[in-house]
Amino acid sequence: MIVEAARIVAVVVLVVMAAYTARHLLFALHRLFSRGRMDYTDLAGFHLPSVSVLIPMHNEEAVAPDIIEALAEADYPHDPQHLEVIPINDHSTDGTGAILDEYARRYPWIKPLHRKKGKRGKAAALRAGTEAARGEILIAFDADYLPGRSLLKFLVAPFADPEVGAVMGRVVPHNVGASLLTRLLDLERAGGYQVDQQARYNLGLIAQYGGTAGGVRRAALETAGGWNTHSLAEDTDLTLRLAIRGWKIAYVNRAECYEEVPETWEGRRRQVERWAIGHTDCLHRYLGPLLRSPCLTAKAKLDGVFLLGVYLTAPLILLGWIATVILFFAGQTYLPVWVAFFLASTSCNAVGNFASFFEIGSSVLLDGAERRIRLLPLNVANFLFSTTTVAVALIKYYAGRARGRSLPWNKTERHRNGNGNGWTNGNGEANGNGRGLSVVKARAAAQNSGSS
Amino acid sequence: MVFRPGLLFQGFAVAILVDALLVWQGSRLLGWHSRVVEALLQLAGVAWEHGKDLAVLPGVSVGLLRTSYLDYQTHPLYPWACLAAAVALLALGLRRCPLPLRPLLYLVPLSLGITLLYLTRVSPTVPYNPEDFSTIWYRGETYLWLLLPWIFALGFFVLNVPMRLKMGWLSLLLSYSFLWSAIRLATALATFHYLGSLWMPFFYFAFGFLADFLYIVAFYSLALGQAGALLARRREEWQ
Repeated sequence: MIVEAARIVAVVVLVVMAAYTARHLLFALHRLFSRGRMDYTDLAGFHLPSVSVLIPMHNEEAVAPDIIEALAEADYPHDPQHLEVIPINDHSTDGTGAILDEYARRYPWIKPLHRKKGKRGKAAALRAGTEAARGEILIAFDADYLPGRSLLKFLVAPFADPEVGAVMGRVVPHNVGASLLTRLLDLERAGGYQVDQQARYNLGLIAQYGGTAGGVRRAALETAGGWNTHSLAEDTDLTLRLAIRGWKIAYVNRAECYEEVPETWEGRRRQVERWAIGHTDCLHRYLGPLLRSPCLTAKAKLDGVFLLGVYLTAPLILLGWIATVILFFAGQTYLPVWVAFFLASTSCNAVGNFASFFEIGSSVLLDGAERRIRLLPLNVANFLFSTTTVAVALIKYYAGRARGRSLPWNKTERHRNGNGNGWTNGNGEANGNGRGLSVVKARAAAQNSGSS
Repeated sequence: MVFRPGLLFQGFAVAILVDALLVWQGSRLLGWHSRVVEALLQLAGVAWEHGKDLAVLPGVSVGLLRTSYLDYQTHPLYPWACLAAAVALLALGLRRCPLPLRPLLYLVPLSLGITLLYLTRVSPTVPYNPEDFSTIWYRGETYLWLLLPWIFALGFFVLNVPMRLKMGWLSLLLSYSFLWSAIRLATALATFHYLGSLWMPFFYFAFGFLADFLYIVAFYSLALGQAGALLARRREEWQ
C-alpha cells in the first residue's frame, strides 16, 4: 500500500513539474521568437495624469534619503496638479520621521504621513496613504528602491488605456556585486521579469503587479476593495482581485527600478518565507473566484492556477523525493522514477520568482549580459535553499491556519548606508555613527554650494 | 537577428540525427563505457567478472560487470561506522559550510541513515546487487544521453551562432557525460565492494541524477556564455 501511494505521488509530482517545465519553456521560447505586445512606452511623456507616490517606511533611515532624492530628480512635473509623494512613516522608532519632515520642509510636493497608531505593516500603511492621496494613479515603492529618472512617465503611460487597472515595471538589483547571493538573485530577477513577466503580458495571461515599482488606478483599486491589510502578499492579492474583475495589468519592461536585494541568506530566508505564506494564502482565497471569473480567458485562468500554486511546488518536490526513495527500496526503479526525479530537478527553479534555467539563459541573452550566465550552476544552492525554506514556511502556515493564527510581517533587512545603524535622538538630530538626518543635511549643503 | 524560428527546427533535426546515431552505435558506445569501468575497477583493486547481457534499447545491449559487495553479516560494525563518520563530518561541515549548501551536507548521513533503517528493520540486504545497480544505471544514463540533444536543441541551438560551435558544445557535453558516467559507476561499484550496499541510495540519487543535473546546467551556462560573447562581438562590429 505504501508503495502504491508512493507511485501515485511520484506520478503526480512528475505531471505537475512537467507542466511547470513546459510553461517556463513556452515563456522562454515566446520571448526569443515572438514580438512583444504594445507596452505603451510611446505615450511616455504625453499622458501625464495626477500621480500619488506612496512609500511605506518602517525604520528606513538608511535608505529613505536616496529614494526621496531620486524622486526629486524624476522628470515628471513636480507641481501639485501632477505629483505628490507620500512617504508613510509606519511606526518607525529610528530617525525616519525626522528625515521625512526635513525633506517636506524643502520640497512642497512631499507630504509625509506619520502613523503611530493602528495596524502595522505594508498593506495597512498603503491603505492609510491611499486615503490621504489625491492622485488618479497611485504608484508604490518600497523604501529601498531607486526609481530611474523617467520611470514615473513610463509607469503611467499605460493608464492612457482605460482598461488598464495596474502597471508593473521591471525590478533590477543595484547591489549585484555585494555577495554571491545578490549575483544569484540578479539572475533570478532577470529571468523573472525579462522573460516570465514579459511573456505573460505578451500572451494575454496575468502579469503580476509586484507591490513596488508599479502603479494602480485609484478607480480600479476601489472597485477591487482596496488594499487587503490581512495579506502578507498584498501585491499578489491585488493582482488577483483586479484580474478577476477584468482589469488589465500591463508590464513595462522598459520601466526599470533599482532595488536592494538581500545580501545575507538569513535576510533571503525571511523574504522567501513571507512571499511563500502570503502567496499561498492568496491561493486559498482566490482560486475559486479565479476559475469562476467571466472576465478571464481559459488560458489566463490556467496560468493563474500555475501562478497561485507556484510555492506549493517546493513541498511537492520534497514529497516526490521521498516517494522515489520508497520506490527505490521497493525495487520499483527504472524509467518512471528516473523521469520523475529528473524533471523535478530540472524544473527546480520554478520556485517563487525563480525561473527555470532556460528562462534565465534567455533573459541574459536578451539583456546582453552573457557573462553572468556562468553563475547559473550555482543557482542549485539557491534552489535547495528556497525549496527547504518554502517547505518549512508552508508547514508553519498550515499549522497556523489549523490553529486559526496569522503569521507576522517580516521586514526585509537593509544594507545600504550601514543598515540603518544611524540613530537620532528625540530632537531628530543624528547621533550614533552619524548617519540618518545628518546625511540629509550634508547632501542639502552640498547641493546648495554646488548651485551657488 | 539573434533568434530565428528556423533554428529551432535545425536543433530538432540535429537531435533526431544524434539520437539515431546513438542508437545505431549504442552497443559499441556502451561496450567502450563498460571497458572504461573495467579499467577503473582494476585500478581500484576490485575483482570483477562478466555478467549477463542487458538489452537497454531494441538492438542496443551492454555486458554487465559482476562485482561483490561487503557482507554486513560478517562485518556488522561497518554500516554504523560509516554513519557515525558521516554524522561527524556533517557536524564539522555545518560550522564551516555556507547556509545554502547545508541541505547538501545532509544528503550523505540522511541516505545512509535511511538505508541503515531499512537494513535493520525491513531486510538485511538492499533489493539490488551490484549487477542490478549497473542495470538501473545503464538504463537511466542511456535515456539521459538520448535526452541531452533535445535539451540543447531547445536551449542552445536556437541561437544564431555558427553550427560548429553548437555541434562542438553538444559533442563535448556528450563526451563528458559518457566519461563522467563511467567514472561514477566505477566509483559506486568500488564503494559497494569496500564499504557495502549502505551507499547504494546515495550513489543512485545524489551521485546519479543530481550530479547529472549539475553538469547539464554547467555545460548549458558555459555554452551560452561563449555564444553570448560571440553575439556581443557581432553587435559591436555592426555598430
